[in-house]
Amino acid sequence: MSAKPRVEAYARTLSESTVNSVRSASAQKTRSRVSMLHQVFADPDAARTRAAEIKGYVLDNLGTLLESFEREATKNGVQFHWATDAAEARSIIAEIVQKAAKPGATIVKAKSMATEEIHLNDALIRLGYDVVETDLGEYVVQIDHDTPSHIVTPIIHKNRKQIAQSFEREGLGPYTEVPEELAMQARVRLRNAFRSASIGISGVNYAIADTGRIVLVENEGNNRLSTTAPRVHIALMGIEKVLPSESDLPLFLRLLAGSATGQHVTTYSHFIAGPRLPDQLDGPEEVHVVMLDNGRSKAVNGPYRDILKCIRCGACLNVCPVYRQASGHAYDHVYSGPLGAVLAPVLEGVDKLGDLAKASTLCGACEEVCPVQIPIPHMLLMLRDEAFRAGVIKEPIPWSAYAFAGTNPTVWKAGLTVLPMASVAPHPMKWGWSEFRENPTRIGRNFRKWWGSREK
Amino acid sequence: MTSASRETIMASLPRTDRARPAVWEPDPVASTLEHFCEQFRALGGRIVTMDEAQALSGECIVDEDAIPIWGEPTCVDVWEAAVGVTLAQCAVAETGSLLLSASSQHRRLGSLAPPRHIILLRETQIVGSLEAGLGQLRAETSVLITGPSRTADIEGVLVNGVHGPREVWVVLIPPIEPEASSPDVP
Repeated sequence: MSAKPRVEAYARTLSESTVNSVRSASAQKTRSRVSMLHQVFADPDAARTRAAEIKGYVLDNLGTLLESFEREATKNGVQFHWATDAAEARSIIAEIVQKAAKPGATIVKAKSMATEEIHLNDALIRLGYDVVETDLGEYVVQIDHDTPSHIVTPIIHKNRKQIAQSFEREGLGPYTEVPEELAMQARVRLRNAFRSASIGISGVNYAIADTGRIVLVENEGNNRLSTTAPRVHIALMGIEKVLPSESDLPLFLRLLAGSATGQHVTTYSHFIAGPRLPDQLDGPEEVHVVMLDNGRSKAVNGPYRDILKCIRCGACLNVCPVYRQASGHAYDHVYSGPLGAVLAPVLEGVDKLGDLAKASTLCGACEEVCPVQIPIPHMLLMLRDEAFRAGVIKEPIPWSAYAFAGTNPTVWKAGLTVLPMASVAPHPMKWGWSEFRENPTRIGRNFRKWWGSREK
Repeated sequence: MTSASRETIMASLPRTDRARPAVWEPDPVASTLEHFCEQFRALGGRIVTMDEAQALSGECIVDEDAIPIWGEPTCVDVWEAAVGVTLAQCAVAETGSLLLSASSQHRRLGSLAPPRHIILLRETQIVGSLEAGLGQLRAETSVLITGPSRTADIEGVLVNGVHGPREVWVVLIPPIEPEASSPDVP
């Protein structure tokens, strides 16, 4: 581990324009989130509480609900596959893909964090397939050989000039910085991919236990195209994504859209029952659901269980002062921000990513905005403790000295005598603080003396 | 191998007997035509008359059950059509959304691939809340459409029509009036 925690070290390398892009977009989304949730719900907090209760119930009954989802979806013709880890998920998907189409075939991808989590694209490209990300932001990420820096808006770190340059480089059309023209260039390019693709791969927003339906939400239409036009649809789903009943959907559709993008509901909510039936006119002939564990079944039985309630809205990223300053790439993982600081080490191991728990000011804003009320700051504290005990994060020496002095009155008093000048003493707050700010000047009096001598 | 993985995963997942929390009760919403139109327009949708819609439409692909109202399609390839015409199952006033389902009479791509989507909506099919709308979901694959296709990926600037239809129009189909007493009728 480097001397500085990774998030802080990365934040220092960012250009001012990147920080500005991330900060202004995050702030904008935070504002629209607040106004929309108050427009949609008479009492947004009551809605969040109910959603948290439902998600808690889901985690308590994950076994039963997944069985029910699998049973009902199988009746609709959906084929199920189960993967304990990322490697197994990749090999299951590779097998379905190889059975469905020869190398060289086009695979269209809808935006999915689960497929990012298992690094699916690289695996399929190595097998010789032409994998095309079709969400506008993810497409830019792909042609730039970049990674998403936000779970909802993957290119929050880029400005229109950078996107324009990438499109010109890829030969999408004449150079333009007009967002509408850029979007149309992408539309034309990606439309050919939709028409020729044999396979579409997506994630899952909600799986419904009582009807076996999978629900996908989006605004662009690329997700519907990816899951409708190709002959085979593969959906990769984290096992925590199930909801008990279709009647729970309206609450979650409103909360997700409101929290993620400040919309009442997203443009498209796609309720997929299964493959095309004999009398239907279009739709995929095969629908596969790949259930991904990858650390989740362990997490659901452990102290960080509540992080599995997450519905991936990104509101905690948008509001987080550390995320706004550091951007998503700083976290070195597909899941960034406060959510990622908990989920990444929980899924990958505290030994590998435990230092992410330090990437927080513990201001509590993430918990305040979370649509399912996940106690993120509390979990960050637990993770810090665990990471500290495991030797993954070390306390800077001044803090250890400070802790020692602060818990020993004699040492503390002696220290006050020896180091009377607070402004020159090695107070551990000083370094990080005075790098960007002026320290207050000491006016030269002693509180203890004054307290002892004041008039009663 | 996969089924062994299923057993491994399932064996470790929690199960309880506790009752589920109550389903969320929505705030009351007016199921009126006015409310729907207001919400739909706010999203960038247009409400047009049948004459306007027909006059402005090029090559169109038409769902089976919309043909009696709209007329015959003028195009067979959904990717080449300028317009997709569909008949809504219902509309949700709360969100300005329209519900469509896939069936022997509905293409999934007809509402998605053409750059303009024209939805025929019977005025009697407007419900208030999202709960009431999704209560009408049929067993088939369905979609709730709320405004034109959009993206804000480039600097948060809203752009319509990135992959799906850039324009979404609704043509209201008034309820069939009971035969008014006409002077000609004896």
